[in-house]
Amino acid sequence: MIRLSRRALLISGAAGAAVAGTGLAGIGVARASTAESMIRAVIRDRFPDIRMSDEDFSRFTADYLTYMKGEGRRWLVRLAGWMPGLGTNDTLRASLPAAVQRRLVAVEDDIMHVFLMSTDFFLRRPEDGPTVSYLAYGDPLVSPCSNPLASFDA
Amino acid sequence: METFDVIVIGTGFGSSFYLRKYLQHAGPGVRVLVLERGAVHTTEWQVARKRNSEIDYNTAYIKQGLADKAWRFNIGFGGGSNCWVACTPRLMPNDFRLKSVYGVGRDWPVDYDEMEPFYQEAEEIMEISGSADGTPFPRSKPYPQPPHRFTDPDRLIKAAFPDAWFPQPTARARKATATRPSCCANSICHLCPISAKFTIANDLGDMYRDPRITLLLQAEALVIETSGGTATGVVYRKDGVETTARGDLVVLGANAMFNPFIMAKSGLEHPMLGRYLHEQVSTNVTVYLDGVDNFQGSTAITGHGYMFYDGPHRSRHGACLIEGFNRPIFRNEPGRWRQIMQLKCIVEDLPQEHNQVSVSPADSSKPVVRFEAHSDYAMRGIAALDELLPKLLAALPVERFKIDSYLNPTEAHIQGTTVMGDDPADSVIDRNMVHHRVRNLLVMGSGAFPTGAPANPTLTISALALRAAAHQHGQGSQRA
Repeated sequence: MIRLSRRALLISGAAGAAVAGTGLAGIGVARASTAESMIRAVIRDRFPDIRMSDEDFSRFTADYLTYMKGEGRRWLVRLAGWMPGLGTNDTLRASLPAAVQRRLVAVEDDIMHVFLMSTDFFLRRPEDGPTVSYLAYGDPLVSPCSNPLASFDA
Repeated sequence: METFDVIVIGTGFGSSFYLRKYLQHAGPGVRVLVLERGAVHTTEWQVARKRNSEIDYNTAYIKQGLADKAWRFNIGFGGGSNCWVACTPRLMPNDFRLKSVYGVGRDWPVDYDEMEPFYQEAEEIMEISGSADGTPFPRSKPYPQPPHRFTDPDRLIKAAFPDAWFPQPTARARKATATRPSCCANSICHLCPISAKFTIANDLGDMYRDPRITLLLQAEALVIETSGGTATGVVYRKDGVETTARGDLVVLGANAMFNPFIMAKSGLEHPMLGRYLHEQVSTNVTVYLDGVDNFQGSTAITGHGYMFYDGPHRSRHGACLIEGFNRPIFRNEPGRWRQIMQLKCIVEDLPQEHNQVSVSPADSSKPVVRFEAHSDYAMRGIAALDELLPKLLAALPVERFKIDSYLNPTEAHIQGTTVMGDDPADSVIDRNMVHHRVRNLLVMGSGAFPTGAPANPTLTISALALRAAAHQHGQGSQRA
């Protein structure tokens, strides 16, 4: 039986992010990995006002590529890697078959969902500024008690 | 050939709750054989493989009829307790008298008052979390655990419908128990990676280590042998070898698909056997909220709506139970990410004779499950949602809402097929789950349900099993 304390998990995840969070960089900074660049483009597009350290972002990206669900989605991320600019180039996207475009949107929605569930996005106060930290990978099969939205008071 | 006092088939809710009460009253010398077709799969095994059993339930039966209809169950130690979401409403009093009150379906041979103490007992065994501020059905005692936390939209609905919106009763622990941690709202209840929900393995697993029990895993019951109207034993297959065990009492607790299948192969034919297969029909509703964030709840499903459940409408269309989900989904709109809510509207079906489980002459190794269609009664209930939902959603600031254009393929409940009743001519088992003709054969599970109700069946399955065991020990209803 796996027994995890959600609070302990969130605290340890936040502490780790703070250590790694020195030298903040904008999410738009280019990275070598083309798959990572697609994830970066999705996050930048959907969350234009936030910042995240490169270390945290690399951890999130690495975990996403490790744990993302479905071979189809994995294939699409690779496709995006082979076609640089797919994440942001509307002309390039429009040249793809409609079914592939729909699947790309599904992948992007999934990235957005996992990002929101993996970070302190919803836990920040207004005075905390635009920086978001990675807590734990937001898939309960990977991090069983990491729902950042749930409340357990009466 | 070994002889036992009791042979129990299956280790799901029906079998296990029966056995629990039986053992409380049985002497130290009794011998119980338990036959479980599947294996024990630990939580870690299930999470790693994202499945509940090595046996693919979809290959265990032959599906016929409505192409979009699916059935969901589990073959393995603990049965459906592995894959269930642990929702535990009671049935409503009028669910037991649908014919008398609303002129549709048929009445159960038991009523709510007879069931109440056994509901309470089952809730205490499972340590159910439920409303501390009223319930839609009468209760003799409070729920064992406090309610789960509402979401903010739940609270708004509760304010508008104080007598119809409740925290869902559930075996997902609100507080840690001796065997389980509290639920942490990860919403993958069918695998629950932290074992926060009641399962047979988590909470009744020790019972199967009782020295009076011989538990045979991966032992498939094939036939119940009878002689002169008495069950004499069970033929089972283990490791490819067929063996017969003798028993004074046989408790059949596979499920509502395999119980009638085994009975039919055992020559226990009856015009009702296998017929009236049914379950609820449901559809999902996505509500786009205006200015209210969601998902602050402490478990996967937080709200339970009874506003469209019981009432005169049941003479025209099926009752509807509403579940409010706390599993996060997001809008792709900055600032409004969480202003969205998902509801599931669950409508009762009226059992129909032509939906049935049978044995194929061509392949008797698997049950044939034929489901032609949901009843018009159920479909009118689905259609009524267009008119009903705006009444509910008036409690919330709603931008828009969308009812799915499709029905969910299954509620993972298999009901009917061994219907209970007082008249042996139109029912398979009696009010105490005893076969009308073979009086030392008990048939557990939701196959007994004469009608289905929109509520989840597990608590009622468990209560019926406790009641049957109590009756065997002379503690049943005076009317029995």
